[in-house]
Amino acid sequence: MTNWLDKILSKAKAAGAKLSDSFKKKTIENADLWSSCPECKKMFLGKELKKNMHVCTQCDYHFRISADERFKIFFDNASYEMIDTKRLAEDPNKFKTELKAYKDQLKSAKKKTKQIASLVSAHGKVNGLDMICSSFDFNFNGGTLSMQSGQNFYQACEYAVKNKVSALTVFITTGGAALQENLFALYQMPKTILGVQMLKENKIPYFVVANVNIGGVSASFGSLGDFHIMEPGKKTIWGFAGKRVVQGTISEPLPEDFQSASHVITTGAIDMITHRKDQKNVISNLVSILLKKEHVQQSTLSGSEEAQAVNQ
Amino acid sequence: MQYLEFEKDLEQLDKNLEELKHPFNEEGGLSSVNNSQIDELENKIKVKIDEIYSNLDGWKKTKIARHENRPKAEFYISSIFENFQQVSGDRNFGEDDAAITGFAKINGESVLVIGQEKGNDTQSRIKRNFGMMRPEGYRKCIRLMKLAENYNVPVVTFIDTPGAYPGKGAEERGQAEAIAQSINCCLGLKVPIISIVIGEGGSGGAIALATSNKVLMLEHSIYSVISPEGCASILWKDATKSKDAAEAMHLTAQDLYKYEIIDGILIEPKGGAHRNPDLMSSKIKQEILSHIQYYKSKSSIEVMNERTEKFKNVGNNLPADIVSFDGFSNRKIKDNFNKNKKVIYITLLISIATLLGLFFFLN
Repeated sequence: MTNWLDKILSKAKAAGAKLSDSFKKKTIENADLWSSCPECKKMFLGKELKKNMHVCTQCDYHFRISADERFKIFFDNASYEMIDTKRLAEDPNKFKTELKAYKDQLKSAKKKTKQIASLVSAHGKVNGLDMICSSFDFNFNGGTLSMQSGQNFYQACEYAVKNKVSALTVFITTGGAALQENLFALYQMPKTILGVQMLKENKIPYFVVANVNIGGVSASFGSLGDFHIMEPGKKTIWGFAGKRVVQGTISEPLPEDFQSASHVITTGAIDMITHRKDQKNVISNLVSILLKKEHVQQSTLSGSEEAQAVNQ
Repeated sequence: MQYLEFEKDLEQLDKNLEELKHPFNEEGGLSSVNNSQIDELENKIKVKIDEIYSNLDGWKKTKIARHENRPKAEFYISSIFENFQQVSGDRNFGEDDAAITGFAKINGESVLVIGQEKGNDTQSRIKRNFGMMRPEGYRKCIRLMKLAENYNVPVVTFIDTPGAYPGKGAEERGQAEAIAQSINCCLGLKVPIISIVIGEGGSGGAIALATSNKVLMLEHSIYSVISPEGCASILWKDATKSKDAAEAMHLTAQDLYKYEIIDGILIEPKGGAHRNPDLMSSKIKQEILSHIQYYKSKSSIEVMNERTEKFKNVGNNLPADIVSFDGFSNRKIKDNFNKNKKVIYITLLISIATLLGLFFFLN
């Protein structure tokens, strides 16, 4: 008699716990409205951060933003058209371990980012110039270069040549090649370089704007830009092997800013360090000089600063 | 000879055979040679080798690919080519001993040879930096490939590296850019490139010199985007899981041939190339010659197109997932279900309750 009662009671308790959990989840979702700067720990209202192009107002930390946000900041009036690409096999290497299946990992990444791969491309106007922009999304599996990402980049280059656009810019925030896809990912290195070769043959300026550029990406299309632009900050990375791996092979301590923007500008790997709000103008300026085309420079003030200026 | 952990039985048999063949017995006198016993044991060893080597998983193959007695690039270069003249230096910074480069002839045909060399003993391993190339090494190869192209000389590369060198200086001198430029150079080369993975094909360090018309692998060699140890420490956060990683990554020549990523497998002598290096090198020589012969009738444009098509189309033959094809239709249904979860559950509960009620009522 008491047995089944106990059972029901315990089940009811479990159900209650689940319910309260779901409520808790909701409150956490609300907390997403707030984000804190990983560098100086300042708290921000999401809206405020968005207005400032996802750059910390206090320490200038450049957040690793999604592809969607990149496009909104980069293209005029935040209007652009996504470039559709051919779909390839999702998990070509059939990677299976006792850990979470790669296929499921991809599925949740797709759900989270609403993208088909870590790199997607869009077409639009930048300061009046016709441009294509590809961007990695760090939230998609750590921004790893997969077979589909390589295909997306290659097709963006094809699209650029076909539509005779003025430039192609790629925003890089990556963790390197997707190791779950093994050689299918490694072979994207030559494939993406084929895309870059196509741009060069057709005299389309190719810009690399990097926040984190490492591994298979930096050793392929990420290092072959006509211009290399890097965002400022201590947490930015430009290199081939990770800092920890390098530290493991040598005995002496590495400089604190090793592989960050302020270091690689001295080693000659990049052309310039540019604040997010200026990137658009720097790129359109160079394109207008190289291709002898007109462009309309926009105010470099961010939305909130502009409002302030108007008020004054 | 170094024996791997799964070759313990073989080691014992080999030892026994040596004792049998030894001309002196334990007392120091001449031993009586027992031919039938030797034959029997030799047969046993053959069977054992067959047994071990016909059933190798990814991790065992990794061990064989890194076997310390496995013939290295230096051996193959000296045994396959004639008139080899080594050349060196990138003309900008320095020389990289991890890559042996030079011009040579093979049965009268001119070639440029590039070999990643790991070294055979402690001294040579340090000299060769364990086969890990630095930026100047890749830049040296680019310089020489362009030189070869100018004189219409085909390129042969031997791939055997754990990866590009992850040192401070290498990073500062642009390791990433050097690899990218090397791939870029390979893709645009007007002469054919033939690559043979003789041991370990490690990531970007390997593909920098293996972006070629024909990528061939020895039977027990491996080729991967990251070492099994690296994969294990990233995915499992535990380097002891390397065995699982090696299995899941599909890094063996057989797996990669099945995926149509590589163009051919060169069968090794029984028990691995290190048990009969000369046989292995003569096989490689035949293979190189047949490919050089094949490309003689091709124009430079055909050679380039063949290479670019291959790298452009990798993986395109695999069926794309139907679910991913029509975007997110599948997700929408799921989302709707999630939204209406409560309604669905409540209606289910009510219907069950009414059914039960009816049941009791009728009783």
